Amino acid sequence: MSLSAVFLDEGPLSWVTQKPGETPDSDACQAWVINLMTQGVLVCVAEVTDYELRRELLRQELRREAMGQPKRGSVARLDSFIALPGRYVPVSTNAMRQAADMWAQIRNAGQPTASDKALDGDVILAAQVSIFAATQGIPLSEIIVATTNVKHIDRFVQADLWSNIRA
Amino acid sequence: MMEAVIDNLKKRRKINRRKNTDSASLLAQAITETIKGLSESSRVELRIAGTSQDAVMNQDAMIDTARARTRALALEQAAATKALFAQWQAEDATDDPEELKRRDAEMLELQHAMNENRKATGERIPFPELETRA
Repeated sequence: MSLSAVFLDEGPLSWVTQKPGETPDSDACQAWVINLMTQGVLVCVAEVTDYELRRELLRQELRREAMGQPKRGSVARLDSFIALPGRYVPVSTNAMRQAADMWAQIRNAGQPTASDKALDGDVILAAQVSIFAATQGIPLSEIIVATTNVKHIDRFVQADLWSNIRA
Repeated sequence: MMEAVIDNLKKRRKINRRKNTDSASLLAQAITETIKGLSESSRVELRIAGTSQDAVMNQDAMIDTARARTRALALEQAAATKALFAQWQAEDATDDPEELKRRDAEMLELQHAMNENRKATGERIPFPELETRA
């Protein structure tokens, strides 16, 4: 399979934005993204993924602050990582409309991926990937979501464990 | 094709009712008209086929351009990301076991929190291995 772009799901995104040496997984994930980009594969972060990680990092930072502990700089690292060229893919009206369509279709097909009360980040991510492909003129088959848990996100969009993805 | 010839023959008969055109001539006219019609539709088909081919070639060229653009951006990303990781390495690298233990605990706490958030709404959790470990 020829790959043009990889979208990081929140699991891999949390690892690539860790301090060096934090865990073997984070170091391996950082080396993996460098390898992808060096071989010409774009590494992207959808706004909804940034949101899902950022809110937890902020919660952790606020808790540390309340306990009088110094900040870890995790939000600043996320900011720096997504600020790099071509990295951040903002949510658009088209993406949200496509997400709504996917959400409704999958429920009517009796295959919901989350509770009806959930905003359902997975359909928003899948819609962002799909709209990105259309606007960039890249075939959707050349884009994949790199995740730490494939379970049912691949109903909407191509996805695999990050460690299985090669350029 | 035979159906088209018969249809044209019927039309010819109506048109030539008042004339004394013989059956052989009528049949010849009907066949000529049918062939003419066929060649016209063939030309139309060829034109459409040509247009589709052009469209496919244009689309392929556009995809190639998009791929080249993406690849160039990825290489730009690679250089910038390497520099960013090197900066983090310079600022934050440590071999202090206590600090490493603390970082590990915080990462685990973050992963649990991310799982809990999604579990609450029945969504796919990012770190399923933590659930089996627990």
